[in-house]
Amino acid sequence: MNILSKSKFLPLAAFATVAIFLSFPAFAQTDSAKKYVQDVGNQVLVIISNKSQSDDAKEKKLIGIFNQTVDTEWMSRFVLGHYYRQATPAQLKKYKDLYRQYVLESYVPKFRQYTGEKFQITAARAEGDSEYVVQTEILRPNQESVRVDYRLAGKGGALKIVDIIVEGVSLINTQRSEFGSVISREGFDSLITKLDGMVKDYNSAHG
Amino acid sequence: MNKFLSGLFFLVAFIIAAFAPLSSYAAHAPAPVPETNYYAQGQDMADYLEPINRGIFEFNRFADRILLHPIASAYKDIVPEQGRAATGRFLRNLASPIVLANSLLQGDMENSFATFWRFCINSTLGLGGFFDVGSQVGMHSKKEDFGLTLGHYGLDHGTYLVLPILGPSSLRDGTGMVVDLFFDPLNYLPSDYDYVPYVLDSGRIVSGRAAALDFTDTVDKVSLDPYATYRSGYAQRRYDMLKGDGNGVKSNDLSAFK
Repeated sequence: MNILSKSKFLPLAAFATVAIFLSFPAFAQTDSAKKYVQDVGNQVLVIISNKSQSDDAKEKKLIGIFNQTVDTEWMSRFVLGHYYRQATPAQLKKYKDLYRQYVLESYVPKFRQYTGEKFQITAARAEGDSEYVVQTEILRPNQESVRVDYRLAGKGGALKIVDIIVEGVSLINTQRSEFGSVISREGFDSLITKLDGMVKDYNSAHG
Repeated sequence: MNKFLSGLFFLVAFIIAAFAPLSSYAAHAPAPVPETNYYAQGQDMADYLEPINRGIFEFNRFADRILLHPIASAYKDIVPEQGRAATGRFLRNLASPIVLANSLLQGDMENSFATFWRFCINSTLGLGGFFDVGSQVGMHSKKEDFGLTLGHYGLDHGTYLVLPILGPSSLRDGTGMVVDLFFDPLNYLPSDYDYVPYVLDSGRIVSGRAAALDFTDTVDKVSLDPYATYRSGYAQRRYDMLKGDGNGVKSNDLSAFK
């Protein structure tokens, strides 16, 4: 009797121990991913709702946050898909730098349209062993909320944002279709020329 | 928009899609070959009619620039945000029978129930649908249409289609739009009231265009190839509505996320 219950108990205990060890880091990690998005979101909100600062000063600070938190290097590679292998090292070097500026200049200045929206984190899940999706809602006065997911990648404490998914539409997947279309129709150099044009337009409009 | 005209446009597109020599266009079809399997499904869709679609896309951009965009901008400037939001709710409420029919066809009893009661509550307590009382008491209705019903039963998009004026669609979803016309009781009004669907459809187009202004202005500004951006965006949005964890599930109903 004693032996029987022991023999039943042991595998159970072993299983429970393994299960706890396996699941605990995952929970801890999704929590740290949530905290990461919460912290970055709070920092951004503090900057853009500060009434005593000029838009230019705000933009400078936001660019600092963007450079720290968004992994444009990884994104630039993902967006090229299989065209990545067809580009020359010189083309890639030029492309990666332009890509970073292009994403930054396309989305950072949007803070000027801020009208008191708030955000809340609704869920998080791990994808594989080093990626997380943190689901948030942007709450807008008088309007339906908008679902925005952040995809984070990186092991240990070094998480970075690699995608923003608005109502199911992913930034980098959309860019992959868009960039792929340009490359297949007009070639890689045309992609670089177009990115360069976008970046130059922006710079001339903003001094 | 004139329903019969748009139906006619669609039929033409359908006939083109059905009888065009697909193989001769296959060379133009993008082959989305993802390096990783991250979101590989639903990222983009086959586009066997790309040359024709691009032509219609350019026509739509022109029509939008000279007509729809200015009207939608004026509507946005003149009508305050609360008014536009209420109009949107009113129009969405009137589309409830279509959502109900498709929820039933998909065997989604939960959404059928929520849609039915949301419609009843909003049409009465919500003063004809201008206020969404139903959602406030927990009757959250997911958007459904016959394109999604076909998708629910495993039918793929077939090919991407750009419909004149109506914009991004697919063989599956365009067919769905035509079928949905039959589910709409407003299309069975006595002949004295047959202007009603036209008024409502015009309202839908202006209200929808106004709501999308921020998004489309951004795309037009930052996209390197807007045609490809809208195609991919449409594919992802529809995939999300079909399979994703979002589709209309909004705050104060977070149980779906677990």
